[in-house]
Amino acid sequence: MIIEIFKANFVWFFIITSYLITFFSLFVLYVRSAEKLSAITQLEISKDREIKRFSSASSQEI
Amino acid sequence: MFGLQNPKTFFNFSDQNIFWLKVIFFLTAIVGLVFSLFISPKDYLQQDAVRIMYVHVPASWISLFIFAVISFSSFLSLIFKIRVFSVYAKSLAPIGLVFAFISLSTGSLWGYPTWGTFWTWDARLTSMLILFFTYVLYVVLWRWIKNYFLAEKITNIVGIIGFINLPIIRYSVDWWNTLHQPSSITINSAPTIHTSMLFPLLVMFFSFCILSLLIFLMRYKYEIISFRNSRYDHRNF
Repeated sequence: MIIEIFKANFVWFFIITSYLITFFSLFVLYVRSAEKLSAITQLEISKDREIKRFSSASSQEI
Repeated sequence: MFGLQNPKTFFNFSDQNIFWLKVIFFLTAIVGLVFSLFISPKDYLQQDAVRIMYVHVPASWISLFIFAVISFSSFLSLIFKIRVFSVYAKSLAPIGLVFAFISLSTGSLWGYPTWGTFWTWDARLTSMLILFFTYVLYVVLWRWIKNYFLAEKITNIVGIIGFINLPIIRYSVDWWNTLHQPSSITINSAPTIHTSMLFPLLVMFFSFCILSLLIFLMRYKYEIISFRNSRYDHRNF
């Protein structure tokens, strides 16, 4: 039965697969890019905090 | 050059417009999908298989366009030593690579119901495969070479040499007898496809362009921040 359904919708199988490949690849690219940016931005923020903490601590010591 | 070498201009642009770019992408993608999958008519010869064109053709156009930009940026970076152009190229390469992959895979899936084969060593398909491998080489070189300046120089050369392949891809269907059909849309002449098919094609193209811009802005910001960090923290550039 599955084979018959596949045979009847043979072209649509290729169409849907094409669209899935397209949007899935673009989704993965988008998510990976967003993750990379978010990771480096978080690092920047924590670095800034460290610098601020360090500078305020050293000024208190002074 | 038109303030393009200033990352601040890009950062401001991306911070202000990223939300609207997402909105435009979603709207155009939905309209494009509805038209390409349901509303656009069947082809008299290929029947429903023609619907693959609406993802295959825009992906091919974008992968070619992105490589042209990479080549131009590589040239400017190599000759005029303007570093920001190599950062543009580096940020664009993964996007072009994904679109080249989409073009090849959807083309292959379109080929089976129309030509009866997934692959043939036809001039257009082969030159497109070479473009895909050029993208792979470009991306891999950036990853493998740890010295930034050396990686920049070598990838610039790859970007410039890879440009030779672009006119070959474009004119392969005219120069050689290929299984791949000739271009239906050219800059110099009126399109040979009906407006009912042209509309979803252009909507999908526009939608993919917006998504490419969105991803590019994110990757560019990432590259600039990581470049700055490496330069000031580790001194390994």
